[in-house]
Amino acid sequence: MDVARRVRSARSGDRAAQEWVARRVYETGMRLAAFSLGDRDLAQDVGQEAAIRAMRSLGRLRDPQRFDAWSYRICVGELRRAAKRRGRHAWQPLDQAAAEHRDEPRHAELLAERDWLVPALAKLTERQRAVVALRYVQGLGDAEIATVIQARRGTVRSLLSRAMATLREEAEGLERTGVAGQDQVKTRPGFMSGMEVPQ
Amino acid sequence: MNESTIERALVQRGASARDLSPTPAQVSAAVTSARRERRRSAGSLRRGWRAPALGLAALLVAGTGALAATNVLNPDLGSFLGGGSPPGRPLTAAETPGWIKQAQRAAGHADAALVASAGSHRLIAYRDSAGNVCFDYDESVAECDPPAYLVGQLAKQPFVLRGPIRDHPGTADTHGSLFGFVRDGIATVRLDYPDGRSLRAPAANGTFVVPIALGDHPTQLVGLTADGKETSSHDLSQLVADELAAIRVTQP
Repeated sequence: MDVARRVRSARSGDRAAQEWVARRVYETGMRLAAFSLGDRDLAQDVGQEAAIRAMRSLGRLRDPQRFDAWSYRICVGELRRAAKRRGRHAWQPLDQAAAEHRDEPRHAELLAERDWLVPALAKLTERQRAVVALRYVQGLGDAEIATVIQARRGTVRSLLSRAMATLREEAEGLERTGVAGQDQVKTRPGFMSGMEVPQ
Repeated sequence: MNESTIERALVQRGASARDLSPTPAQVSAAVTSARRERRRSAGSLRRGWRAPALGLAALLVAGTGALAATNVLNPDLGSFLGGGSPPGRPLTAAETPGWIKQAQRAAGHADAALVASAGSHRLIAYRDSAGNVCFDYDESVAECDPPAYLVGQLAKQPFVLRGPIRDHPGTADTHGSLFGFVRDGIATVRLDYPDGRSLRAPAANGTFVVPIALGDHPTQLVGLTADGKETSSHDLSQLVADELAAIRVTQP
């Protein structure tokens, strides 16, 4: 059954279709938030809130064929709210962490466990972070992202370009302080290991 | 650090994120929560809500055959469900209950209309801030649902009944009213009783209100065309008797 048909069934009260729709939104919200915020509790919250919001406003979706773009927009909105709730101060910059632990024997080990991308992504604007997440989590192209964030394709390319520049600056800053080397520029395995992953 | 290294890190992080999925329990909880919040958003606006014990008993009367939704809706009701203004007579500010004014302020518009009435019994329609269509049955019961819900119900059956709703909820009042929605083409509804009596009510804008005595049990609901021809009927004796028995109040 295609997406539009499931959406129509969900709107008619079909519980199975509603759960299918809710799962699709929940999953997207959770994934975008985990990617952007690196916090499993927040990711759960974002997924749940996005699913509830989508189910409550499903009747207002005019064209079920455009469900995915509509649901991505809801998820991006929830992601923005979650980021505001958390605030930028929640991330401790790695150079600060390094200074605090410079004399400790487990310094290197401690730093290796840290995920440099999370604070680096926190330096992006909300729109840049949404664009990066939609590209690398959902695999959307420029045109699809443009539909979700309601911008032109050129704007999307510009946002991505600026985001990459900011990430590069952040990474180079960490390299200069000796906090992040080439071997650490990768996602720490199991960085979201606390979350339930279906087998 | 070069661009491709950053790109690789982002790709790896995206792949890790894609491994995540909610559990079935989490999904189910989200759906249930959405439904509960939708109901609460309607109920919380009301004063003197008296729900299941006396009030809203949804009697979904099974009909014969399913028709395409577009063919079954009264045009005025269909227009409302499709996003237009509610059918019937617009309520004046003085007539509009406070809880509806509250909903209108939240929704940013002022459409509320008296869709059907019988004496002091009123069926009022309006739209809430979430785009749901809302129906108030007298002063005690309201419901808000996505338009597709009612469309779906009328596609499956010729009548959708709401009630019986007691005139004075929470009292021993033996008077109440039945509300309902009907398919297009039904101009009048008739409730038949075992002793040969019957009650008629016009189906205005695809809806109706019938004042009833709660102690009497109608046996049949009949839909009539404008020229009096019976188009559909359903045996209510068992269903309504059960509902009425459930809400009967023992006199002190």
